[in-house]
Amino acid sequence: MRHARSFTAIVASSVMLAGCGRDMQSMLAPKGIQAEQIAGLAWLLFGFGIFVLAIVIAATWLAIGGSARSRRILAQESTVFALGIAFPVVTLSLLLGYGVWLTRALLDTGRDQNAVSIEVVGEQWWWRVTYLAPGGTPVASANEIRIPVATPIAFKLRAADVIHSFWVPSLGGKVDMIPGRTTHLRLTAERPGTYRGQCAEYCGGAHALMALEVVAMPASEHAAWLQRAAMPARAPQSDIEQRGQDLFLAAGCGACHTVRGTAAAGTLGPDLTQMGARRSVGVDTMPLTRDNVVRFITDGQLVKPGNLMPEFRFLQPSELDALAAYLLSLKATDPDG
Amino acid sequence: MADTSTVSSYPSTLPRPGGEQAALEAVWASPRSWRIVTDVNNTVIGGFYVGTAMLFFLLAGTLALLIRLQLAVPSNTFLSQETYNQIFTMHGTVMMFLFAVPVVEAMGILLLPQMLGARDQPFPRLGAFAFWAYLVGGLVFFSTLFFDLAPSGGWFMYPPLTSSRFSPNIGADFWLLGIGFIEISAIAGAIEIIVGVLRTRAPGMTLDRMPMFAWTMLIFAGMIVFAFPAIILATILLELERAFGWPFFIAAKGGDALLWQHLFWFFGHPDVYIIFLPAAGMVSMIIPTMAGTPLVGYRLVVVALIATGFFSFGLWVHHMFTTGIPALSLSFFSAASMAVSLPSGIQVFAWIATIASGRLRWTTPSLFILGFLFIFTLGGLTGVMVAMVPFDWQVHDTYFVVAHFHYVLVGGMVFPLFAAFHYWAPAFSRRALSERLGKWTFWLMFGGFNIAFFPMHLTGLMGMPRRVYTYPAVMEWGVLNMVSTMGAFLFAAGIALFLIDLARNLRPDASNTAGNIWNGGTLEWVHNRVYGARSIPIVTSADPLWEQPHLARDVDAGRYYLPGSITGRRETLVTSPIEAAPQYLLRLPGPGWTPFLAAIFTAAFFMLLTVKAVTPALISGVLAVAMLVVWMWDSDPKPLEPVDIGGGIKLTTYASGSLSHSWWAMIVLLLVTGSLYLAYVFSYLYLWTVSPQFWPKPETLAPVASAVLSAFLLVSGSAILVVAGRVLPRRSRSGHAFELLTGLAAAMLLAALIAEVSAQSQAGQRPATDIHGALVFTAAFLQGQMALPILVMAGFVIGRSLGGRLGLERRVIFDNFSLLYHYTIGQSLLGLLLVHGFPRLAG
Amino acid sequence: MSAAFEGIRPLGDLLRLFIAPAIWFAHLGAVYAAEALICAGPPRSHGDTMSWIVFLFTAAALMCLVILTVRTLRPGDRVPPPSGQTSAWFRRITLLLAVLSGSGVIWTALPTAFLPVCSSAP
Repeated sequence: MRHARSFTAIVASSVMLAGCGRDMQSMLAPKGIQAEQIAGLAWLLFGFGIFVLAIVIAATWLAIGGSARSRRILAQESTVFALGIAFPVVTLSLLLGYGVWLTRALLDTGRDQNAVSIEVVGEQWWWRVTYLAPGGTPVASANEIRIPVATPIAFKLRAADVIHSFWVPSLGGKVDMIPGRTTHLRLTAERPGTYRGQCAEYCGGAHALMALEVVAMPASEHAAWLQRAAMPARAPQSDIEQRGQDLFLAAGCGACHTVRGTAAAGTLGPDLTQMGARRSVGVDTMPLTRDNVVRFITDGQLVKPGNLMPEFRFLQPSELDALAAYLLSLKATDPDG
Repeated sequence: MADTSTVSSYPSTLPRPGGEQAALEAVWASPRSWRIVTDVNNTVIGGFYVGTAMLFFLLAGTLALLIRLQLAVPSNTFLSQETYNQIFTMHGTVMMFLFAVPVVEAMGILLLPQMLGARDQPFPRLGAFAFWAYLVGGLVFFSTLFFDLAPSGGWFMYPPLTSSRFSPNIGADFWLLGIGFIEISAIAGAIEIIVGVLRTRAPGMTLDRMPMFAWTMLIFAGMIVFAFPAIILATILLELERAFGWPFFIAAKGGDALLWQHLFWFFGHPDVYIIFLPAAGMVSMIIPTMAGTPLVGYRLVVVALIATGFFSFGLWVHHMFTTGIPALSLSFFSAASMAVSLPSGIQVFAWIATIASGRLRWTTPSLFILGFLFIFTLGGLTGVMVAMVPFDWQVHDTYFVVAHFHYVLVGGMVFPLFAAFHYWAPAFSRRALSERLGKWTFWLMFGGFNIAFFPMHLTGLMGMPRRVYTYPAVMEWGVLNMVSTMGAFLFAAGIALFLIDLARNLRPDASNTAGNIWNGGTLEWVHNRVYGARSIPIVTSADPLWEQPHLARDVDAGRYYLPGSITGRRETLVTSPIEAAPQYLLRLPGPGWTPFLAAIFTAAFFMLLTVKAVTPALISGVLAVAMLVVWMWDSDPKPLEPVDIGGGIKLTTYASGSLSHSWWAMIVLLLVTGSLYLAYVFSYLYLWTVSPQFWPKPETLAPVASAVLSAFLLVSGSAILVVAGRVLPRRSRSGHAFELLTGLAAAMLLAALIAEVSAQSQAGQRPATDIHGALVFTAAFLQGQMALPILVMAGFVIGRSLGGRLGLERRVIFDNFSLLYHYTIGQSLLGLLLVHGFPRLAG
Repeated sequence: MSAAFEGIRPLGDLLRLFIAPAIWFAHLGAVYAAEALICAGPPRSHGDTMSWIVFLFTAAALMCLVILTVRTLRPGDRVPPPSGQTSAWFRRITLLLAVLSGSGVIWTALPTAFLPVCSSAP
């Protein structure tokens, strides 16, 4: 029985973990309707597992050192039949039925005409995000997805190169992104907050660093944010920012990156129109600070080995300053909006 | 059979003639010193085989420790990204392909003949070939790690990541050619095991008295026959794509990345049970001995084994729950995953019942078995969890799954294996392993395992994905990972202690072993030497040593069948598959260079091909075939007069048709090739459902007339070979009608292939253009893959006929050739029907 | 002694063991293939078609299992008298496998009652 006790203890400690604040990527701390339904199933399954394990341990214990009577009962073929066939048939039928019922419930959840549609394309090793507003122009972004709270979101998932898998544990299950196919995922965040996600299908090289953040915000704020995000990039407001923009265009950054409203219209890499408004740089490998932006420009292969961006080591410190200032300035006018 | 339960008179009388045993020993003597590589005996090869598999276990385990070191703390820089990716790929690949499957196969090669009362495996040289191919291929494959040439696409090798576009290095080619080749060696072993279990059991050992380990090995080998061809086809397709651009997995040209996943997991899921079942068989052997009572529910356990064998083929999609396949399809496989847990439940409670019906002795094997019961049950339960579709959407590809399958595989297979090492060591070694060290080994391994892997359930639930080389500190997975790492080193300490135990106590010996120290009831516990028991007993129960008093003594005294060598060669008895009635005396080959050299050259062929050294590769290939021909030349020895094996039973020394053990091997081989072809037919139809727009309009297809021509050539070829069989000369040579007809039949097959390829080319089909062209030429490729050996074999048959080694009586070589030939004709016709008929039907 | 070994039976008994689980596998393959084909075709309402297909396949599979069970229980006159206990042993195993496979077939069919056709992950 010692094993059963330690098992319960560890499961109990996981409950405490789930209760703590550092649960931005835990399926035990659900923040969305889908994730909550699955977490409910998870606890049911854990209970079932502990129950069956306890039976097996108890039976083994009795078989070794139990009374003559209990051992005689355990040694019968009919007992093998009862515990090994009849009992599992009944319990597993119930579990299977519940699992199928829950699958049905999840299929129906968030199947809403008014769902917000967002396309996410997995690329080695970042996420291309496009907000598909009905009637409006698509708004491109990368690695950070802002969604309205309590609104069903319909994700369209595609892959540009190899297979990836889109997964935000706090909000729900994962779905693979497969070249040549479009897959779908519906999520609904119930509370505002920032939820971390990560590519779950090994996609080579820097798979470990292919993370993303979903920021759930009140619906009205989200609408306002999306409106601003659809606008061209904020123009440089100071000399240093202007110098940065000139450098950005002169160094050829625009061959791969887009900054809407400027000549930079490359599509190979992430859209940077809203870069200053993001929370991190290098696909969630580092917080968004001046130093980290510079680091990514000069030592990108150290930060995220194998990424397609060349290291711009020839830039002088002052030039890097200007470039970073420009990039950090790229955000809609009201930073908290 | 009642009359055999009380043996009033023994088949052979005492005293045995002087010198009989010495002659037997001489016939079976192993070559000395380095010439041991020419030996083919199952005890020697089996020992090497187990040792090599354990070497790969240690190597892959070392890689696991490197992985754990890297993950011990967040943002660690101990290993670089690329190195880590190579290491985790190699860890999985080596553990699955070079350790887990080979080691259970090796245990089968080592133990089965002794357990079944045979002198050796039915095809000793095939077993030796399989072993050497595996050793050389495996070592070369592993060493790629030291040259930064190892694959880094994961052990599951999903395209398009592993396509030439995203993995241009030859690491992936090493995986595809190396692993594909090692699978072939696994299939060779499986054929050996199936024929061995069904045809070389001791007289009276009916299927319901067969040791449970033999049952599991039979199901194991049967599963390999149907599961491995799927991955062999997958590796062929991916290598064709990488080398020649045939777009099987490229969506833009009509291919589909998911095809690989279907084929891979159609192999991969059964593979888990392929690994587990033999381990379960070991448990079913060890528990009865340790509890001192027969297995409770023998029947139920056999039911469980057969059910597992089938049910495990219906689970493959449960590795694809997150691929966006319709939920209803997923639920079919969720249900199948539930179904497969029933047989495991039966076995667990049958083992507990056996423990309850006897008295469990607290030995090292017992401890490992109890550890197995706990760990495996927990792994099975998390298996039920991941079989629930919504739950799997969350935990799929997280550390929860890593924990789950290590519980299943390490718990389900490594713990029983260590129990088996401790249990069976005295049957092969002068000394048993130390009980004291063994118990320490167990507690270190058991504790270490749970400390390493239990926390991974939690890291997974907390969101840590698999196959990440690092993770940021903010995720707070650091503590649990550190605990896992410490557990892993504790586990490794247990393994190290086991190695010390081996060094101190394992003294393999062919004739002088520690013997039946556990009081086991099955035949491997009579006094066995390289040739097995002195005489082959009559078996009247499932635990003969318990039920038949004095059996061990009488067997050793030579009172049963075949107490010496009758024909002056290595021999074993062939018995009927169900009742184990003696049918004929099989003369077995002795040591020789050909299996060893053939294996070396075959391995060289594949490895040189990988590094694109085409000419040396072809030379090696030709040499390998030459070795095979030399090897086969003195097979099928000519019939002798019937011999007396004792007890008044006179047996022939030659059998043809379905009586022959080699007929059975050929049938199993045809099942393998048939499965491979069915996997191709599945791929064809599957890809059509994915991209039907790539199928040409009927009017642009190759003309029907060309298909009719090919079919005509094929059918005539078959008819010609039937006629050849009729004119097979009796003895004296008159004319060469037989040789001419055989050659003509082979030519017809080749002509049909050429006709088909040229018709498709003229119709404008090209393999690299789109998926339809690729599939059309794949059919031709698979045809060619059959035609090539048929040409070689036809030449061999003709040669033997000319050399006077083939005739109306001595005809097994021709019979087997005919089986393969007619099968190939059938496969070709099916291929023509599919390639020419289906587009017209669908268009 | 040699008389004991004369009752050599063909492989039929062994292969017979595999019939029930093979039916289970055929059923699974058939319903899976049916759904794959239906969903590969043009999109329309398939609910009824699929339900009928699964119902028919399931009925057929269970029918086969019942026939197998009946024939195993009553081997009839064609089969020569079983040699000893081995035959009874084979019959018991065949029956148990039929029971297990039957549960499996029903489990496979069960989700059709709950889930829509061709609808993929949420």
